[in-house]
Amino acid sequence: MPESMMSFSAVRDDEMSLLELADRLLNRGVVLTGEATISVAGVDLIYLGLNVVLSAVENLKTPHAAPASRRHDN
Amino acid sequence: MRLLLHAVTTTEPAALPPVGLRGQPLMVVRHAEMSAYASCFDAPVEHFGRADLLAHHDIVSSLSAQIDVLPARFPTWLADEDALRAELERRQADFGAALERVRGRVEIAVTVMWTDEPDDQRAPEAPTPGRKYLLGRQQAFTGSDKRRARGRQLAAELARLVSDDLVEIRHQVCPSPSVALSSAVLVPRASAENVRKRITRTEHDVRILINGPWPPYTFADVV
Repeated sequence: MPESMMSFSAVRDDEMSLLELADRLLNRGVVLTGEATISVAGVDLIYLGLNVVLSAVENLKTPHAAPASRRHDN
Repeated sequence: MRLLLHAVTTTEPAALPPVGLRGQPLMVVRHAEMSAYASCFDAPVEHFGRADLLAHHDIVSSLSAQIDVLPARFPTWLADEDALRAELERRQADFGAALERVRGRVEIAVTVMWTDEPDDQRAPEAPTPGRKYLLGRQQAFTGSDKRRARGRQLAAELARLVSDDLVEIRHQVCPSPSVALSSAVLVPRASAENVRKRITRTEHDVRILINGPWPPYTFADVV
């Protein structure tokens, strides 16, 4: 089965809610420029495999990336 | 000592969450008129997972239920109290402006999911492999355009539904194969439940999931 179909059929409401929340926690909010040592989130988040979280996890690796590109319709 | 920042604010809550992340002490660092809430660790945590994200969300939500806060992006580490105070000093004007933007307001998260597979998941029928491939590509582009157009239509419809209470709205159209629209809606705290009820509706091709009210994560984007 193609990966995109798997992600389409596998996402439940509670998983989607978690993904939406994770997207906000990891991508939005105040960014400080102190000692911003960033770790990659747990494998369970990556495993869910939706673009929102994949993007969020990518941003964990680049903590100073500006959020503007995710603010509006792309 | 390392500090994991949760939120920045200008006021004091009546009650603090009992502990910080992973049972660590929760510290308040004050500077000028700002207060920052952070968990104290002896050393940085190497890996975070789902439970940590939810614990951070719980701490921020607990504060946000009492006072206006700017949530910090997770995970934001600072070396010590002095480093945090220096940031509060340096960003005081930005934080003040952002807090004014979210004062008395909460975020409603609206996720609109497709109820059927995209057209480009169904293989076209054709007498030859070459023609089948070309039809498949054409179908993928057309289907994608149709879905994006529908996503934009849903975004406009959502903005109209909440217009009476709307402070600000931000959309992501078709952010993933299963999602037509992901929107963050900033509304007055007192209107949150009414806004939720107004958004709840049935559409033939999508399912609408509403979360929140949440702290104003999307609208605290002070970089």
